[in-house]
Amino acid sequence: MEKIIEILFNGLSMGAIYALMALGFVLIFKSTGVINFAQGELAMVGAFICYSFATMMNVPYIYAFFIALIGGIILGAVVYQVFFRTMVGEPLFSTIMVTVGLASILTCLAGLIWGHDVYSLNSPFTDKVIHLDKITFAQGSISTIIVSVVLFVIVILFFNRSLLGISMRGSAEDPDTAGLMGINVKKIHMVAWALGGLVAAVAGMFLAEQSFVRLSMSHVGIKAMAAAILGGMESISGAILGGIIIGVVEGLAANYLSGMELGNFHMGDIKDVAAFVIMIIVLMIRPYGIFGKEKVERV
Amino acid sequence: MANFKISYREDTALFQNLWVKSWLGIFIAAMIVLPFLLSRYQLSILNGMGIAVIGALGLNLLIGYTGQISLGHGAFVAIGAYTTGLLAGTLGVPFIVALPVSGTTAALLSLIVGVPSLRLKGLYLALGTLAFGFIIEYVLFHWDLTRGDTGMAVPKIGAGGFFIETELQFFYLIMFFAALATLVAKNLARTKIGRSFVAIRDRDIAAEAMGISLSKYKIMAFAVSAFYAGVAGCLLAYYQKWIVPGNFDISLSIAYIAMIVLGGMGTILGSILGAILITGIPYGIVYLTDALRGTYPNLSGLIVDLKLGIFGLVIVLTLLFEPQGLVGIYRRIKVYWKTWPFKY
Amino acid sequence: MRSKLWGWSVLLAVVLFLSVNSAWAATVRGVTDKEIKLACLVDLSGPGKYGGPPIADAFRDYVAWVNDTGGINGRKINLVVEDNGILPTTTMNAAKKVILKDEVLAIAFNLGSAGSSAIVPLCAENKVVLMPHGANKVFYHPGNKWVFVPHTVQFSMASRAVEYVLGKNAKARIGVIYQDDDFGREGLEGASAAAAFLKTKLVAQAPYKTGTIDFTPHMNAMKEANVDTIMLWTYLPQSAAIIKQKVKMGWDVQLISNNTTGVPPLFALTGEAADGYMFVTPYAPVNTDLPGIKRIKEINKKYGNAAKTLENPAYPDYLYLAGWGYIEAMAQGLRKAGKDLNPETLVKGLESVRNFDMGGLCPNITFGPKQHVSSFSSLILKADGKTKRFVIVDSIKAPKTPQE
Repeated sequence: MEKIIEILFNGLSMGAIYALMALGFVLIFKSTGVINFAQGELAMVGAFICYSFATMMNVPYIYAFFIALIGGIILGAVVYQVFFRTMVGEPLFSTIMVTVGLASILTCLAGLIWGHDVYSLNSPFTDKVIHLDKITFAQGSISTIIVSVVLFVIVILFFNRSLLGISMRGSAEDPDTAGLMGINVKKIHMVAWALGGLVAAVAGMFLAEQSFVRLSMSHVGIKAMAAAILGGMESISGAILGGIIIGVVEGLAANYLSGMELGNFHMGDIKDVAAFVIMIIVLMIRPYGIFGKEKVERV
Repeated sequence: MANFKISYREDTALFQNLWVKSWLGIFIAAMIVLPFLLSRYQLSILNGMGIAVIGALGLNLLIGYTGQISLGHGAFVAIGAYTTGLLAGTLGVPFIVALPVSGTTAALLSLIVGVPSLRLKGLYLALGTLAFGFIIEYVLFHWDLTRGDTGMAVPKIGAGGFFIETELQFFYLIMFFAALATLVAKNLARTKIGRSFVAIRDRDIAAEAMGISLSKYKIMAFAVSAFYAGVAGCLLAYYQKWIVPGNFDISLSIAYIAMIVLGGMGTILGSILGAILITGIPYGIVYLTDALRGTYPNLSGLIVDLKLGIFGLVIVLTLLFEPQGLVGIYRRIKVYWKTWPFKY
Repeated sequence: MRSKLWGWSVLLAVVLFLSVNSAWAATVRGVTDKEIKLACLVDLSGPGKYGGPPIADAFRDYVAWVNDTGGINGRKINLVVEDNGILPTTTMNAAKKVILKDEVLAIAFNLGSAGSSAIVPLCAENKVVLMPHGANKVFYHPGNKWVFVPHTVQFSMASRAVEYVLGKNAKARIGVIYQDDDFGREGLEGASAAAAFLKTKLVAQAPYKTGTIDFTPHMNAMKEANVDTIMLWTYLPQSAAIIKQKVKMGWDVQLISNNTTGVPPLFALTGEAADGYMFVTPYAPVNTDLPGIKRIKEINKKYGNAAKTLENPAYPDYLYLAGWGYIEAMAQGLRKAGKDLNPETLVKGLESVRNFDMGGLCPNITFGPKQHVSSFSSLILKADGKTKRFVIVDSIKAPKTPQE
């Protein structure tokens, strides 16, 4: 019993990180129609910015956290201005390749600036635990879950209540009409990218807090993409649910399936593949993800 | 040069006019003579490009012609390579058998993604195929038959006293198959099948309404593309003589997509140009660093540092300034010369 | 149509003609009267960049020293350092470049086991001696004429670790957390072999995939099995994550790992929690005054950039020593090969290296016609959290478990 609670709890905290990353995918895709393969790299850069301030310059962690958030926003906006302003209306695949290229450029620059080593990001929660009965909860995981929930609520309120959020939804629905209604679609796109950069930076910092800061941490982006697809690429609540499902499934697979031997097949560490297997199974049943809506197509 | 077409047959002809035919003749002659002028290293670069051309053609038939996105092309190359490894390496099957069987195996396994593609569209299909790629890589790593990341040996092509083993011999072999693959792809594109592919890409519902069987042609597109990938994998396995799962990770799938996007989607020439460019970039960097090493050692070190970024930058810049890919540049130059000195 | 057929038949004829008439170069690749060309393939870009530069440093320092003191049998070494970018495909490209373009005599170092496996056929075909630093058993067992491993492999180190633990406490309950690839699995095999040899068993094992950051399940499995020692066949980030997890769980369990994790950043990542962390390695720590270490420090000071390398406390010195062991082994082979140097005599030369004294830096080097691995021995070090240094707890010894 304790074990399953611990597994679920850890799965939830990993899931919150996936959900944040997936949220970034959805925000950018919904508003601009670009699938950002560099989302993981944006998260990595966010974590490195936080590391530079918190660990290298000894700025208090909370300030470093907010500096990294601003860094994420600026990075997102700059990426849009430099790479995607002129790419509106280009085929899906060209934009995907631009983000793939962007990912390697970001990794290369981060490697030049911060080096290829592994670094430790010390936050107030690092290595601290709370014991409840017989179960151990890491403080880092608790803070990850709480902050993510707060962020999700803010994002959902933003899209349902604020003028900017509603105009973003409008221009996502039909950019041409939105433009005619007086909405500045280019500005909306930039805001979407900035928000995408922000949630990526948050995810990156939590990920770094649970482990370390390094270039290869960006690989988590691919699994977050699976989470976004699982939930339905255009749904914010779908991204959150998708992230949590993948986090929990991974935890369960690592605990109950990894290391098994099936004849001449070694199960090994099945955790990473489990995310994709779940994704495929869900797509078989619901081809547009859990919350995705089938589009009515006109001929 | 005026280029009028009087009949439909002329419009769909494989080689449109004398001009094209004579250029083709010169090209073939150059390909036969060229290897004698090049070093073994340069030949090895061309061999890598030749194999990439085959894979890129297959992917372009799927993505560029049929509009079905696949991020798992590397997995089919892996299936082809490992089929060859198991058949030739373990069972001693000769090349002439291993090659078609590798292609066929890849085509059969493509049903795993081909059938779901009837339900999945766009991005969902893209991520589904990506997941397929990861699962194949996982299986290669964990199955005793495929021997994990130690990999497996692939024997030489040939029998009796005659073996294909030098770069030069591989050059002719690979170029033969690359040319064959190009011809088949070009032929396929101008037949009913090719036109059905394009119709599905442009509007699948409309295509269905016109009587094109979506399920048949979508599955066929996946199978043909996987067959190409399987053949490329088979040649790669024989050429490298040793295969490990790491040869076929997601970066291979991405490289293939980069080839067709940069080359030009939905064109045969684009696949070839893209394959040459993407395969060539790392070698370009090698030649550049070697040239600078003597005079500017620091600069050459910096280029190695920036290697990954250079690759990304080439992709991004090409797409920002020429979203249609290399074929777009080629077309513009052609139009410019055709209409010169007039602007239009 | 007819013209096309004609074209293909010409092509076929040319192919047939060429396959019969294959020319062979008369000179020896990479060797002149004045110079020997050697390659060192390490990561200078990509995810493994951390490991490449220190190895290249050792190669450059050694070559500068050897060339300055007269070279090898009158020939100077011309070193080609090339980036292999860790992946099998990029390693293949790098190997082709140094063999076909630069035309080196031998590849004295190649980092990465999958990449090394991938280039063995290429090296054998072109008669290039290859020294892989994947350090897996597969490179000498069953073995290949052209492949030499001047390094104690993972299998032997894992056996040594288990024998050491069981030697201290015959009833120790040992669990293994290992990376889910050939590197990790070979560690597991070595450990299992040693346990079986000493008539006991490993009580738990948990694989993880490269890039894993959450070790809760693995550590829970260990705790459930009630182990008192965990053997880690991991790399640095995972070892550090496991140490952190150990602290989180408030569990005082002994950890023993392999040489790749015994680097100064371990302390930066885990602080004093690293105290007591043990690992098996073929290389002595640089802060000792063994004769072999003293010698390389002098050479490093004279020919290298000592302030940035061996005298820098954050420098991953075991990689420097690894590079040193490789080039020293290669140089000794070249010396033994004599004046008439070609790939065949180099193999003979290497195979005649017997008990070459490394002064305690690493086990002495012995090769033979049937033995292409330099040694099975290794030493055991322990992390001292206060001084942030590694100290020797058990000197160079070979495992008793059969290694073939």
